[in-house]
Amino acid sequence: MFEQIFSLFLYGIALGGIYALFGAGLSLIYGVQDLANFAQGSFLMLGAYIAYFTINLLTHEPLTAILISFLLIFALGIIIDILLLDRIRKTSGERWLVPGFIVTTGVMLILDQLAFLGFGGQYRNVREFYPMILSIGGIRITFDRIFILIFTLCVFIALEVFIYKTKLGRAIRAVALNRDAANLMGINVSRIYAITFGLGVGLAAIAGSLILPIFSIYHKIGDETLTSAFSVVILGGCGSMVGALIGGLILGLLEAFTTYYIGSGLAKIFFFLLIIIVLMIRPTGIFGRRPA
Amino acid sequence: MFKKGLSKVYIAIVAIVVIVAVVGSVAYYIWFQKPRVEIVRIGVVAPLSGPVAAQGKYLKQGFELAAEDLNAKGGILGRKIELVFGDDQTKPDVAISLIERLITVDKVDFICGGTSSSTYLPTMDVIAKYNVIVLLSIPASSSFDVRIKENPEKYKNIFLQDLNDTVWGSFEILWLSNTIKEGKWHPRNMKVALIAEDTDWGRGVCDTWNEMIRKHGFEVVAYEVVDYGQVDFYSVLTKIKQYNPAIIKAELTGVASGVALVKQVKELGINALLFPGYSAEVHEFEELAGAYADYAIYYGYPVPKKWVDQLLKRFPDSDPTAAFWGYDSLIILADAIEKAGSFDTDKVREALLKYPHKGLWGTYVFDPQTHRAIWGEEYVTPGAVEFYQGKRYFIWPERLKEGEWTYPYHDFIQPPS
Repeated sequence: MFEQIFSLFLYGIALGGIYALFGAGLSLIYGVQDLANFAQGSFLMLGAYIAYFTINLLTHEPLTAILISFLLIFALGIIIDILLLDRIRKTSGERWLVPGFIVTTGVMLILDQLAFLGFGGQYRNVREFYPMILSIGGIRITFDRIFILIFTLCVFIALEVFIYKTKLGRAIRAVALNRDAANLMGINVSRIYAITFGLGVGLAAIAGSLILPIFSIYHKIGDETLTSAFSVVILGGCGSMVGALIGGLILGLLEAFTTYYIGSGLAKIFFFLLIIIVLMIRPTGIFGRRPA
Repeated sequence: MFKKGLSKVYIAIVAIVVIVAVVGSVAYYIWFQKPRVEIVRIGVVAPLSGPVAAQGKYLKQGFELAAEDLNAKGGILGRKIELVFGDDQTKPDVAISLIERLITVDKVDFICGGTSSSTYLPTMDVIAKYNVIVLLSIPASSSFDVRIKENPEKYKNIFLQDLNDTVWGSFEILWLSNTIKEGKWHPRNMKVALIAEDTDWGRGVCDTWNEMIRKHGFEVVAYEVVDYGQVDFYSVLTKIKQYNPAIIKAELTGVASGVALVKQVKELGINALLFPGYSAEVHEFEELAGAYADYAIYYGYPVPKKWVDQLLKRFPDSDPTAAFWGYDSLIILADAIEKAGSFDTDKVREALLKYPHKGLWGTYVFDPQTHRAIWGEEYVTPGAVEFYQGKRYFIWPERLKEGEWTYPYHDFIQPPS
């Protein structure tokens, strides 16, 4: 019994780590820009494809593939923010929630269709990053899942260090807290928005790269997982990286244990019940900040 | 947002573009369509996007090849075949709209295709509204059979090319029981775990297994239902692992689901004879799964090698085991029309029921009560296929056999953990 519980726990936190990364990106963008990025899933999908092709064409080393995926999607995110989102923000002013939603939905549709045209509709995967399994007693865990766990933790530590210990991170926090005051203090808000968007979608690309040895990818995989990202943000709270990590882990563990005990169909009901309870008790999420 | 003058110009440009598009479409539709007397228009429904888009693509290729072959011989009763494709997205609401559009807007004469039972069961009442024959290529839920048998007049125009879930489930059990009786396998225990996709097809096959496997002395220790398109089975498999079953029978549709299942079974160290179901049909399965697919068993369809070569020459990326469905659908329909000597729905329906129709897979004879193809050695019958070292080959029955069954755990051997 202990072996099963522990196996489920390991599986749940590995899965939760991916959800956390995915949601953290969304949380970061929303926390700084007040933008619900409906294209977050598409960037996960693109990140996965970039990592897939890097591994198949350039190097089998997953760390290199993840880095390339992150950098390319980060750059793409910055370009999209500068060319598209910045204009919408300046035109719409304070009321950019709906235009932002429309624009990111449009970006999602375009990216999905371009991916379909470019890569086709067939599934692709990487069979494994590291073809080893750790077996202790009755507990088995693949090295891939261990890698995901450790890598996710490292990314979150790096993120926390970046946000709280660097000048750029302080600037991001300042803009998130009060955009106008930050502007008056000489912070280039547009530049911060662009970097934040790039970073947010870059985190989605990392999540996409990490799912390669677990799931087969295709052009719609981002859309199918988008609900998870929003759930992480609701659970953990907008703008909080720790909240995103906790929210993701809760989600992963809930999925693992409820599927085991009651089945995957009913597991979803428990999952949405949890979301409702959190919204009722703490609408800003577990670690979310209340609006000023 | 814009200056006043610019706004008027903008509106004018948009209006002109819209008018030209509408007028152009209508003109094309009216003046440039071929006169109906030259062609027979056949609607083809398939999932061209979504989790089973790969199967949809191959199905489409099968139809295209059949149309080319038939048109090269003069078409059907002198008319060239024109295929009108529609994407059902594996969604019932989309399939319903698609069927209606094909009949009322595209004015097709017949409809073929379809892969998912759950997608097409809801379309039965829509089809019943129109006097157009619909030959469903792959939907195999026995719910179709039941409804057609109970309402023969209402659903008279629906035909089902594939065998039903009861037959498919029974067939695997038939192979299993023969294998045990012949002493080729001594399972370490008599436990079976079932994993059913939450679709009519998935549940239908696993319900058949649940009922029939017990008659052969097995105990069903788990019956898990998973979502359509599910790709993470860790929790389900962790649960199943505690029962140590000698057999795991899954019925999953999407190739990603099948690949994930065989991989996660091995990762968790579960040593069981694995049946992944329909998900193993497309050739991406062994490409994506690699060695994780080794020893998995599924039901295959023997199609002539000559035709496979022809298909791959025309469509190098195709999958014969999926494409042949489309090919045979059109061949069956064409044969029925030729035998009827007419495109009239009632006459073609009568011909479908009255005559046998030779296809790649075998001879299709439709049961008059259920309108479904009959299973049998002299009709259409599958074979058991094993995956091993990146290849798939028939292991049963004898007349189809291409290789020996290589499952290593034959004689009460406890597999390594």
